[in-house]
Amino acid sequence: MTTTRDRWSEALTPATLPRQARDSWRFTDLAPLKALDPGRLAPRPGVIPDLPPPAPGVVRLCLGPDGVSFSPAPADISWPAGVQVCAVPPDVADAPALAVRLGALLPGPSLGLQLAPGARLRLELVLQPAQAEAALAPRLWFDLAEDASLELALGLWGPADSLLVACVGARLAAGAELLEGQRLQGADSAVALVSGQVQQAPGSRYGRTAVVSGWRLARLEPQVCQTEGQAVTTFRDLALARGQATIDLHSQVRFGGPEGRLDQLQRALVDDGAQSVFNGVVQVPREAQRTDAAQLSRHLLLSTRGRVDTIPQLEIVADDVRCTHGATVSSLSDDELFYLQSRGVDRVLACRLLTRGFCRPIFDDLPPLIAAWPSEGLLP
Amino acid sequence: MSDRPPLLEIRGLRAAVGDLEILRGVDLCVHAGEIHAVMGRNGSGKSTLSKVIAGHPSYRVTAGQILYRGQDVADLAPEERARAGLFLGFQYPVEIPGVSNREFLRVATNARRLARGEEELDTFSFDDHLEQRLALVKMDPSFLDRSLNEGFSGGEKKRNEILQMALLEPAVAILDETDSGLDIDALRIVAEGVRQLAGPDNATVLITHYQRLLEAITPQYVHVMAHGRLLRTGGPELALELERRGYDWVDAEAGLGSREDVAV
Repeated sequence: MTTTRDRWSEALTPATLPRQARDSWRFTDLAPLKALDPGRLAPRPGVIPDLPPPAPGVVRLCLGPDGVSFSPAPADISWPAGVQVCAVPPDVADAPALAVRLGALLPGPSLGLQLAPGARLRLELVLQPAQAEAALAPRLWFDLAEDASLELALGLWGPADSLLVACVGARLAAGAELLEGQRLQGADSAVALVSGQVQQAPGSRYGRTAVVSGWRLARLEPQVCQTEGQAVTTFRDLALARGQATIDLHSQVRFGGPEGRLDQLQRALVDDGAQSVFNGVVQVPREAQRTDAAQLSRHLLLSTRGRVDTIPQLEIVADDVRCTHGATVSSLSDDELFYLQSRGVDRVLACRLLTRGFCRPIFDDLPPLIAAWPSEGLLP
Repeated sequence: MSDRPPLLEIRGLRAAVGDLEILRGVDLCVHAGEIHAVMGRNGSGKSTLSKVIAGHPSYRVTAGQILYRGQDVADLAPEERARAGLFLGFQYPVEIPGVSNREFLRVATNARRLARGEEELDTFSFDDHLEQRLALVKMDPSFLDRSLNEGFSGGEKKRNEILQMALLEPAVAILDETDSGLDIDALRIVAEGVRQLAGPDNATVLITHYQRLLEAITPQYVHVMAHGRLLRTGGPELALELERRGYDWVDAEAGLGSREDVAV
């Protein structure tokens, strides 16, 4: 009989892992993933999170004691009107995202929800394994009918030597809104692979704000397809890369029709010997006229040993569009430091104020549910 | 001048940025209760003097002393000088996105209070304290909850500088072209704030090009700076003379060429 541990071992074979030579993995060293011992990885029980109790009307699910299910069980919950549990569509084993390929081979926890027209849900998913060498592979699916609304706060923690493989999928009908906040915190030996696949119908809105801190390797691959355009997508990403971490954001937004909008801001703070990779693909085919897309990548490099690879990638065929992009890499400004110091603020605190200031725009855009979670230990 | 020891005494100060010497032997003595004005052309070294006194790391002191309350502060970090009571009002206050103006003011105020042996103010006490000082510069409180100087007009930035001065209560305030970029009303408000903060136990050094600030704040001493030195010192009438005659006559009297002859 194949055990869960065996399945992790089988999943992490050279045949499964991408080749470094592939363009999308060119800047990302897979060594931290290969360094994990699949034979020791196993689902670990969840811990009760150190978070304030959920606000009234908010549903909170945590990682169960078996490490592969939610607690309480979704089937046992009295969901708000118009919300019902459904099956998670099967993952495609040959999908380009590594998280999707691995996720197809690994056990849960999994959660699928359907929101009927006009239904409203505020949901917190807190997945925090209790022990090191945890294997965690959540698969989440949300199907929002017309004018349904979901605010999702997704917290993913990675203890030492753990592997997190998470897949989040959603389909938004006309007028539906998904507001997603992600917080990924991992130990400096943990690896996270997170994929997102969202389909947006015209008139829908999808906002995703993610804060990633820690990890040895964290790769996020959110993909959005505005199937017929005329939808609104907002991405906000903050990477806090310290130590030897590699935090890698590969985003892709495709406009399948006219008048779609994208507002994307990625910020990364890179210290020590850490690395930040950003590859933002925006696809605007001929049918996507009058697309309005803005993409900005900003890096703050705090160490001479840090590394930044930033690759805006706009593929524009339509001729009547407004697409902007920008990428900056800077260090702390001497003038800003002197200004603060000239008011009696010591250099260490001045640096902290400036780095926090750099991060602030993303924290300010966190959806309310996840913004209410304590941020100690996240910010420098 | 006063019999009391000076608050700030600059002796033979020379300073350079890279290999370029900008200050070429500055002497200045400032006592409590005094207001000084330093005037001069663009490039004469006025702003450099203010930054060197405040400890800007881009400038290297090559000779001379900066004595504050009798102690040479040339080797102190900028924050140590500020905590001790030296204040520089910036000509171009720096915009710092993401750092709340209110939080910055609280941190700076508490750093100064601790240095003076006073207790730190908690958030509520600080807000009360801040409210009193806000009235001095007639500043819209909504600016407190914005990022530090970000998107502020020139006038609001200068008011924010004077607000910081009011909170930090420095012994010596050096205001670098506080009048630049101000309309008449803003100039009046800023000047009124500076005048109210000037007292018998502190001193103010105004760095300016023009007489108009000195019409609102009357200095006891006016110094003319050129070629990295203070060439001449007089009373308020010197500022009027400069306004009338320009700067070339000062160069000529000092036996120096005009600005075309000496690059600073």
